[in-house]
Parts: sequence; C-alpha cells; structure tokens
Amino acid sequence: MQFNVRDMFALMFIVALAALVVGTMRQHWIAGEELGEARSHLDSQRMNLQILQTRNGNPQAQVDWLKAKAIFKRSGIEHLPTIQEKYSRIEPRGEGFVSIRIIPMIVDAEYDGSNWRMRMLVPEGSEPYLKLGVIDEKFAGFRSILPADSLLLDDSFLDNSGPFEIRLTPDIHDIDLARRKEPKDSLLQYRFSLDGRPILVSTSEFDGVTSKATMFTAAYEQIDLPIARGSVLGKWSFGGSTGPEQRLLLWFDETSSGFSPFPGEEEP
Amino acid sequence: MNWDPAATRWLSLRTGINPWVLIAIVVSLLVCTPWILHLRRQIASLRAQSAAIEAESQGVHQQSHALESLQGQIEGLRAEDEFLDKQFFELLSSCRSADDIPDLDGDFIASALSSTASNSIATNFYVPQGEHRLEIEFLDASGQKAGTQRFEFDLLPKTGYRLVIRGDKEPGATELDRIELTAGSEEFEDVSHPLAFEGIDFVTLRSWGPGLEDVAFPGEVSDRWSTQQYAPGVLITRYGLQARGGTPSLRVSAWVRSKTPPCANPNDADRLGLFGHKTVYVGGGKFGLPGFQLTPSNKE
Repeated sequence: MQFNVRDMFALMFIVALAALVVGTMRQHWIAGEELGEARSHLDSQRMNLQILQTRNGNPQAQVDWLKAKAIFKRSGIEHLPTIQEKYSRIEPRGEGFVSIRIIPMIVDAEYDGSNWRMRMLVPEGSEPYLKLGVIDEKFAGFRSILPADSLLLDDSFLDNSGPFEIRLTPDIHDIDLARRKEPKDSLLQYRFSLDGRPILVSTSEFDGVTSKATMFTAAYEQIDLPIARGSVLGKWSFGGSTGPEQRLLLWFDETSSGFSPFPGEEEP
Repeated sequence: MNWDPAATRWLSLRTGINPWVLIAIVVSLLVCTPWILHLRRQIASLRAQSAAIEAESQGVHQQSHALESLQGQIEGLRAEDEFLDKQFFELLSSCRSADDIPDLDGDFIASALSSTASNSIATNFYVPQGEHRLEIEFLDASGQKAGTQRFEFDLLPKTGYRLVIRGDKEPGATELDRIELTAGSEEFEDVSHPLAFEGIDFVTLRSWGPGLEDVAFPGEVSDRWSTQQYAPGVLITRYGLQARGGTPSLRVSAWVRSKTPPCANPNDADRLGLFGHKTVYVGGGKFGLPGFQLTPSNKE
C-alpha cells in the first residue's frame, strides 16, 4: 500500500473530523454542566425567596398599614399650633399678680424626652425674680411653698444645680424646658430657656440618673399668683434606680436671694 | 449499504487517493455527520433550557429583591411610626376639651389619657367614619359592694370625644360622682350621668396605664387588650379606682364597638392565620376575617 501527499490530506481531513466530534462533545458536556448550575442557582434563589416570604408575612400590607397610620397621626400633629394658639392667651390680672398658663407641647426629638412651656405675664411696676435650685426629695413637701435657702443643695446629681436667679421685666415671658437623654439613652439633661434664649443646661454627672416625674402647677387655665407671696412654678424629680432622690425647683419671688445669675449655655 | 469496489477504484484513480483512505473518509462522514448534528441540536436545547432557567432565577431574584427593599421600607416606616406615636399621643393627650380634638385623616380609632383636675380621670378619643357605640363598664374587683354597672352611648362618626370619670369636689372624701362624655360636635348631646356606688369613698382615682398604645381599626380583633382575647372592638381606656383603705376597688374599662365586619391589622392577621382563621387582605393594611367566630375561650 502506497500513501502520497493527497492521502496525507485525506487523513488530515479525517483527523479534523474527529477533532470536530470531540469539540462538539465537549460543548455538549459544558452545556449540560451549565444547565445543572442554573438549576441549583434557581433552587437557592427560590429557597431564599421562601425564607423572606415566611419571615415577612405580607410585607405590602405592613407598608400600607404603616403609611395609613402615618397619615392619620400626622393629620393630628399638624393641629398642634391651633391648640397652642387657643391656650396661649393670657389676660392681665392687674398690679400685684403674676399670671401663668401652660401651653400644650409635644416632643420634637426622635428619642426619649419631653417639652414643657409656661407663659408668664409680669405686670407693669413689678420685677420679680425667677429662681431655680435643687433640694433633697425628702424636703419636697407642699406644692407651692418656697424652699428655704438653707435646703438648697450646692452639690447634686446635676452638674449645674444652682441656685440661680434672674430678674424678670414687666412683659410676657415664655419659660421652656426640654428634658432629654443626651447623648441618646445616656445622661439626663434639663435645658431651660427664657424667651427662646438658653439660660441653663444642666446634665446629670453620671449615667443612670432618670427623671421620675414631671410635676408643675397645672395651669391649664390661667392662674394668677400674688407676687408678694411668690410661688413654685415647676418641679421635676430625678434620681437613681431606687426612686426619686432630688428635685429641681423653679419658682418666683419678689426679692433677690443673692444667687448667681443663670449661666446661659456655659458648662459649669 | 451497497458498496461498489469498482466505483471506489474509479474515484481512487480520478483523485489519486488510496482507496482505503477514501473508504475511511466516507465511513467517517457517514457516522460523524448525523452524530454531530444530533449533538448540536442537544446543545441548542440545553442552552435554551439554561436560558429559561436563568430568566426564571432572575425573576425570583427580583421578587426577593423587591421583598428585601419592602423590608427596608418597613423598617424605616416603623421607626417613623414609633416617633409619630409619641408626638401624636402627646397631642391627643394635651387636648383639654373635646373641641380640641381635630378631625383626623384615616379609618382609625385613637385614644389617650389626658391631664385633668386631681379628682378625675379623662380620656380623649377619636372615632372615624361608621357607626360606633361606647361601652363603659365598672367592675367591682372585690366582688362586694360596688357591683357591676354598664353604660352605653351612641357615637357620631368622625368626631373627637372626652370621657371624664369625676369624683365629687369635697376635699378629703372623694366619692365617685359622675361620668361625663363631651364631643367636638354640636350635634352630640353631652352626657353627664351620675354614678351610684354608695358607701365607697374613693381616696384616689388612679390610672392603671393606657388602654390603647396604638391606633386601631374599628372592629379590630386583637389580643392586645388581654382580658377579652380576640373580641372585635377597641379598648380605649382601662384603669383602676382605689377605695379608701385599699379595698374594694373598681376597674373601669371603655370600649368602642363598631357596626363593621371584624378585621385585623397585619400583625394580628399573621397570628390569627397561625391559629387557623381565614384572613383576606382588603387594602390599607386591613385584613378581613370572613367567617370569624368567637371561640368559647375568647367570648366575653
């Protein structure tokens, strides 16, 4: 048997054909593998979806519900200025009387806290002193009796416990108190402002001091207080985990006690 | 196959290729061509299947993704809801008369305890569109003197109300005196109903916590209001009245019952579903409860 160049070409053709067969078989095998992979990928995706579905119940219903509630609540919150307006009017009672009333407030920060505002009318011819100090809870006693100077603590759970005083001019004044945990969930902070100007920032000296109650002269209607007698305007209890131990008092009095002026936003 | 050696010989002579090689070429072609074609068809079909599965995975993935983004949205909305709750209930609580309670935009009942004079307890609440009725129950916790008294009042829709349980004015001896219901609508005739619990001097009128911590759909079925599990109706307030010396004490609870099919919020619907109740989503976050029956254990 003799082979010439043409035979060689013919044999090469056969080899090429064989290579084509092998290549096609390889492609076939790869396509099979890819299909298997796609199937297992789909299975894992389905399982993932199922887990999400069982975890969430009907998430669209949750979204609808939360949105409907938000609209409902907002429609109420928007009404605040109307209520504030209604309860902020204050009629002069005449000489010798300070008139007060509490204006409805709601919390404005996204964490534990509360806002309180008292509007106060000081009549012409009077310049009483607004005072603040801390007393021991056991001397808290009666509602409106002014604390004796000897009872005031110069060292309390708060870094700025006074006592402080400021002379009020004859005018309408707004006294604001924002009670907060500052930073969030940490130190108890009282922030007092007079006519929008901060007059005192007092922060608990350590973690875990909690405010226990907010009590104040409940002036839902206008209350007229004789200047000569003075009166407690607000009181806020605070303490450790066992119960209220100290009390922050805000009051007014006709005469000066010689206390330091309110420090503003300064640190002690 | 009929193979003609003469033809091969002729072709071999014409091409100058060894006849055996020619035979090999012919045989290879005859065998390989259909096989390759068959494999190609299979490959195409496998690839088509893969593509279909890929597309399906893509769809499933998108569904998961949509769920996850909804979940993210839910978490955001929940955080917002918590904050709005605080503001909203402070607002409702700071309304000092029924006139102050605004007309609210939605199908919810809301209530909050409100500050008032020291010898009384006030609850502010709002009812939306629909037919509602207020039920107030005084339950004697000790089962002795006071007995049980029940009052029912029809309510106007889309109106705010203030419910006050008042003691008498005498200092030191506060006797439970009357129940007052006022509305922020002139069409409503204010109610002032005397209470007859003789011989009981209530030293303190003490609240035992808020009745409703979230807004609720009228006719909502929920286990939030513990004692009457899964009874349709919304508890708007519940508190205790402590008598002198500690006993006896009265438990006061007030419910809004609405003429509407029982329904549930998404959280309760999930739980009711687990207990085998049928739930149907009707929109706005509300689930209908077709065929809902009170079981003996949760009947009033």
